[in-house]
Amino acid sequence: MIVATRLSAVWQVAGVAAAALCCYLVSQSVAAERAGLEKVDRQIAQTHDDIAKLQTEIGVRARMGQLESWNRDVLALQAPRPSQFVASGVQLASLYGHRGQPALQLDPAIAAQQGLPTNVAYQPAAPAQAQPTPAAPVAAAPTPQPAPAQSMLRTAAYLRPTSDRLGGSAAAPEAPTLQKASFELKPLTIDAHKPKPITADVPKIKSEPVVPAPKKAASPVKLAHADPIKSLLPADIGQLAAREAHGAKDSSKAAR
Amino acid sequence: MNAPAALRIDRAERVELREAAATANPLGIAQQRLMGLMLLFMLITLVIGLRLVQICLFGAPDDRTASVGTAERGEILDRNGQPLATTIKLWAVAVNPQKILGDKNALAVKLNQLMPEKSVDDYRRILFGKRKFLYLRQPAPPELAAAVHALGEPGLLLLSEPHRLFPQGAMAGHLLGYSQEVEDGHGHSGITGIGVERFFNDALAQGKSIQLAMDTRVQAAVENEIQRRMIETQAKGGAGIVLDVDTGEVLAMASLPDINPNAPFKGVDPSDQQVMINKATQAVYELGSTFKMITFANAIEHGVITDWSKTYDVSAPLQVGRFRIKDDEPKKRPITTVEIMTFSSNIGTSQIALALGAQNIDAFFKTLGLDKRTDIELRERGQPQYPTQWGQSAVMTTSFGHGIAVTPLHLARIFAALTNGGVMHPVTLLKRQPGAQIPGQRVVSETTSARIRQLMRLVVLQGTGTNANAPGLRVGGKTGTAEKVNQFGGYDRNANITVFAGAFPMDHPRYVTLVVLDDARPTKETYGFKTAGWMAAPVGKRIIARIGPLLGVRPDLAQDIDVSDLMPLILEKKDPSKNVVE
Repeated sequence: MIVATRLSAVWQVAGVAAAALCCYLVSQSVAAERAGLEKVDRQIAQTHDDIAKLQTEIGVRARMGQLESWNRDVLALQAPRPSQFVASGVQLASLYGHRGQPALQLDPAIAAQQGLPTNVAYQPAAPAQAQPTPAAPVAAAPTPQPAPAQSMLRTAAYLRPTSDRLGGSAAAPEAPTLQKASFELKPLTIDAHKPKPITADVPKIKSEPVVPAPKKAASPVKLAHADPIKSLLPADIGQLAAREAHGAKDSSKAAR
Repeated sequence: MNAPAALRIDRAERVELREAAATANPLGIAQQRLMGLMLLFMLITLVIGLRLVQICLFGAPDDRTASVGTAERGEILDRNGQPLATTIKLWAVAVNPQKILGDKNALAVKLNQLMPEKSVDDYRRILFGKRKFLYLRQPAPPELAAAVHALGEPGLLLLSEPHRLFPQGAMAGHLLGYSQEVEDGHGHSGITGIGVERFFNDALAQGKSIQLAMDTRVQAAVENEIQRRMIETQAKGGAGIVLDVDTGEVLAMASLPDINPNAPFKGVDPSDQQVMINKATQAVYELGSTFKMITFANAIEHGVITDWSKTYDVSAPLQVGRFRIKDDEPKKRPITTVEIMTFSSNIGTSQIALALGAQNIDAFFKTLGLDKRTDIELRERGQPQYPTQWGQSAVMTTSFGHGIAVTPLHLARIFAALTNGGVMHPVTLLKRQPGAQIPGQRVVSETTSARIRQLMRLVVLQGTGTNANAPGLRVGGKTGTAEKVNQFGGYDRNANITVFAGAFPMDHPRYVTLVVLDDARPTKETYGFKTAGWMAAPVGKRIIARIGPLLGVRPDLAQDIDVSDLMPLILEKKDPSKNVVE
């Protein structure tokens, strides 16, 4: 006890020294952490500098003047024409396929799983018979008649003469034997007073069977005042869709 | 032995003294010493603690962090974030001849091999000279910097210096401009320059970036097409503007011939300041028949035009003072109000202006800001030449854009207001944030704006602007041709300023496009004509056809503005496929 009392001053000094040492170690630790953070900051700044340099180099190499020069000399790209924009589903469908061949090959896995789509062209008008209607609950839809087994996915394609397809042949092409489109658009009508199931604005397909009628029996619908098809460009295909829709309407009137 | 007597105390006495002191208060002395030691430790602890607090609160000063986050000049970005002006670090090679340690003659030969723009003798003169600092190459490519470093000569200095870079080269040179510090010879320095670099110099110098409303793709299309047309028609200059009608944002602003802001004075005659003039915002022109749209809008607003089938006699020129007002394509029959616009009849428009009166015209022009500078963020803003006296001649000539000279930006802003429903917004080079409230002032009614849109579309469908009809983009506009003012203040009959100002799509206008060509010459392709319908309108079509899809305007041949009520009033219909300039 006496020893402890006599050495109390020593203990105090030792305690203060230990505290000072601890503080010093904490200070060192903080300094080390700060140094580490600063190093990371410098690395980040350096990386930003590198990114900026690379972006600047890319920007300079791909400056608009240079791209314009390449386009003028090599690529010759032009602004898109109005006919290259698809405005409706009909126009989009007209872009898909030619002579029964799909424009884009299906994924073999999907084809194996679901079967190849049946390629059909616009069929000529046939005696009014049943045709499968879309699954949408269209009000006053005609009663579906038994239809031949057929996939729901079909490809609408235009039949066009083989010659002069790209507009470069001087030989007189055969008259295009476009077949009548067998659908009509029905405007969406909503009656506010009589709540009805929502009827989707689905193109109502006329009740006509897809009978593989002999081609000669089909009366080809000639395009009124239409020149022979000159090319396969989307512009011409779009015009063709409009003409064909017009022709289909006329022929449907004639049928009535 | 030689010690003083006072120190020669014998041992016995010293022992006695020590014992006397120890016995006096030995514990107290020890405690005092311990206390002193403890105070010392406490002081050290306090210092350490204060130091920790300082580090925690204020951080440690460290010279190594000085290079991190140094405020460099801010960037200029386009509306999509693409850099238009940035700062990069480039090497510079300099020399301090006083610190050269090696053989200066050998070093001169080596320097000549690396940088052959100076001869060996030149390098010798530099190395043996008395200067303490001299640039040898600024900027220097990295390979050269590495080669100079490999020489190992401490007198050769490699400096990493900031350098302003415009990645797009000469594109939008006048718009981006430059800024540099100059001395006036009296020891005072100041900032000079043009464009955004000069206008926003303070903000850029503080490291702030500026995001412009400009779209690089649109700017490139505008410049390229105007440049192409200038080559085709041997025009001396050109200007172009694309303006958002609803926000007043400038998506493109071209002034050709351009300058390269990377080296703005390279190849430029210092005495020729014309090339530095921004033709879109600074140069003022008589913009010709494009002013007829303003006159018509004014006349509709004031009830002067109510019956569009009313006919005007334009068969004979009008003589007003020393002016003789005539039409480019004289009609020997009365023409309807609509035909005045589509045929661009000066005589018919003058009659409408007379019915409006000087007071109405002056007031409307001032409402449109034609008497003062635009408020765009540039120092290069031209002051319009506005009529001081509103006599009959001023009333009539200003109705078709003569006797009043404004900048193309004035006209673009007015066309935006006439087509967007009648509200004039301040034009800005800066990108507006989505949803931001945009100040505006109504200048014409919605009804008047709708009628103006019909007229603009008719001008392009059936009038002088058919060459501007970009398929599917529903372009509307007005052409304008004015004789160029020569250096003596008179008109040069052989040189025209041709203008096309239009908007698209006219069923819901979104952008105004304006093109000005300076002294475009007729070509075989234009059948010898040199009016705006043949010179500037085709450029308008090319530009709109390119930028329309880029800006989200889908070309659609099946959609258009309804002009069925005015179309029957055009008695002579044009064949749209005839005489088209592609």
